[in-house]
Amino acid sequence: MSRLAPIGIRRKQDDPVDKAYKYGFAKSTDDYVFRSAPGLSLKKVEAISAEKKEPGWMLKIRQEAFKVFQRMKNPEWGGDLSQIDYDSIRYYLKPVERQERRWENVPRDIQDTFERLGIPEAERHSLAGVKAQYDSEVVYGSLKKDLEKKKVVFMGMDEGLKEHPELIKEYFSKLVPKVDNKFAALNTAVWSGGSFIYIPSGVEVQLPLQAYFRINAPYAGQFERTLIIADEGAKLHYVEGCSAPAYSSESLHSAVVEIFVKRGARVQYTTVQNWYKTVYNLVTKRAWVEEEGEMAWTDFNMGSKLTMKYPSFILAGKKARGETLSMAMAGEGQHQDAGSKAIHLAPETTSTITSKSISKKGGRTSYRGLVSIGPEAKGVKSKVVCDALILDPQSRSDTYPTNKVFNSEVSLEYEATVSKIGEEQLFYLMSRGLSEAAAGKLIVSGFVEPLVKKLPLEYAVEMNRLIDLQMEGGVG
Amino acid sequence: MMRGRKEEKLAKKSKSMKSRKQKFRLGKGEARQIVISRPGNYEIELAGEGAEVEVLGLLLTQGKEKLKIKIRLVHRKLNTNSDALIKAVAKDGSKVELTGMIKIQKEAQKTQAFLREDVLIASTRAQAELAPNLEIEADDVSASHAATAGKIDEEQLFYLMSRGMEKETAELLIIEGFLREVVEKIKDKKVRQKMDRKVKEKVYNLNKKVVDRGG
Repeated sequence: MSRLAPIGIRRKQDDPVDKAYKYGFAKSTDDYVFRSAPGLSLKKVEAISAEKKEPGWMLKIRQEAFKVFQRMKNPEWGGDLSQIDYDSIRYYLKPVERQERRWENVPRDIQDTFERLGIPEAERHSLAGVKAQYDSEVVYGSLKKDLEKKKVVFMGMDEGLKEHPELIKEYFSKLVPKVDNKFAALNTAVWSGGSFIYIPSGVEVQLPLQAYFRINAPYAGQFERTLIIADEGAKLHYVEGCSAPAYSSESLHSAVVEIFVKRGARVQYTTVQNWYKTVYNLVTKRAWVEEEGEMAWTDFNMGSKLTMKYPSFILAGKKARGETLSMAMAGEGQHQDAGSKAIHLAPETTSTITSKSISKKGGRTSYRGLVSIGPEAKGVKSKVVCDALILDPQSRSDTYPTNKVFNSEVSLEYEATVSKIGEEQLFYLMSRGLSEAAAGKLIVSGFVEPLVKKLPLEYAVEMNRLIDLQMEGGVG
Repeated sequence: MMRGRKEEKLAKKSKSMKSRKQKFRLGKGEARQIVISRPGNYEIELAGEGAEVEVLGLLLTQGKEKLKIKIRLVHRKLNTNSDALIKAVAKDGSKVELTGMIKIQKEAQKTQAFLREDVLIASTRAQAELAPNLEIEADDVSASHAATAGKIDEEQLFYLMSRGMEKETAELLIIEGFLREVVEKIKDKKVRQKMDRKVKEKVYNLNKKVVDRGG
């Protein structure tokens, strides 16, 4: 059974708002051990650090970041951030005291939630290791024996800070500094949870490592911080999938992911984002790629009210490669403002960005990207292809690429097309007996197929189902 | 303010290169070809049903120039078409910036819009910035845009040099050919001839008399 499917399916016809959303359920937050009141202050930031018993240098990082967050403004481009009320969000919620290794010891409440989301199923299908996050804290994780033998480190960020402080100190915030943008500053101040991964030289992790996030309480902000270090020649595929229950109050998700790809290493980072339509998803993801290293972002954005996310790679070493496959789907009341940034610093580096977006029922998708080729980056090849489908007259699609070239020895190509489903294609399928709705679904599946096939099998299956579900909510 | 001779000359120069703003408005059924050969902000509005515009742009930057062409093409009504091709060459240590925004509003159904920006970076120190943007609010449309940047094709250069041409001459010929694609699309004979002359002047840095003589 697919990893993201719930075990029980509600048969009742629910509120039309929930009908399209399978994961619409919530657990009470009254029995949380530590609850943070809404709003943010320096004292609260310090309380978070104290509660986690962090070293002094991390506390200092948080304090400095909070000051930067206070003075920075919201970006003036992108989506509409005017409705975010920083004073009414809760920034830290922790359901259990310590991380559990065995599934049986995890509280019933939380077990149920993850049971419905299919985590035990995943275990049974022998995935390499599962870290599951429940409202700001990594609750459960298990590392398979062979990963331990290979000395692969895969743990929650909090645990990582306790067990590998020197390593984290060396890399934390080096790629996404607190001044990068207001939300990076916020994350640096109140981060909690996220994954810490270190792959030693030459180690190839065969099966994808996965993590799972969930926002539960109203106004709970998710500020996970992920740090991945792939040493020379290492290979890793990390998969991140999200879900949130149906609440009408706004929810803020502001994660930061920093990835260091060393010489000859390869990292693929896959995200399946399916937050409920009230969530603001404002994420900063960046990779630093050294000589002959390779970074691949596979980014699927299906949910949230507003997503602003531009996974980037800085190609710092000769012959480094970066690739982004981005898919965005925006339905009623949604705005996906996504894309990628390729920054070429070194010679003979290559970048490929492929973006496919679909907007329907008044949704809006915007591709926003940057290709920057520096003066030393000779012999660079870059290709960007964006395709967008607009399915009805109320919807909107934008593309905002920027291409900066600082030397002549380059080959840069960019192209984008926007259109609706072809009349002829529809006619052809309908003349073979498919209804208009079924024909529409098939065409959209075909449109995204080149991206979906890059996903691990069970995700590909689930992705197709998610797309179908989104299409069902709309066509006709 | 007291200005020396040098400052006076610079002030005059910068004035002529000052960003110009031009607006074009096409009414119902109107078809036009607009040729842009100077830096500036250009706004083109397709305000009537069935209006069609072809935009041709050429720009060559040299020395330490930093020149920008910014085009804003707005489709307001049904059945409007736009086709824009902008080609620029950046030489020496100059920088060329091409920004093209195609905006298709809700009412502009059955629109076709196409924009292409190509930059030839002819010297190692030259730079380019290309930003073609699209904002589309209608669904029954066909819109696409493309941008490319690159240096002089090695093979083309080799071909010309193997026929006895010097490298510098071959490069200039290729640059002229690059811009020629746009010149050849110009419908108005007078404008086309004028642009042809202008391109030759700028590319070969010759004065008018030499060019007219056919040198």
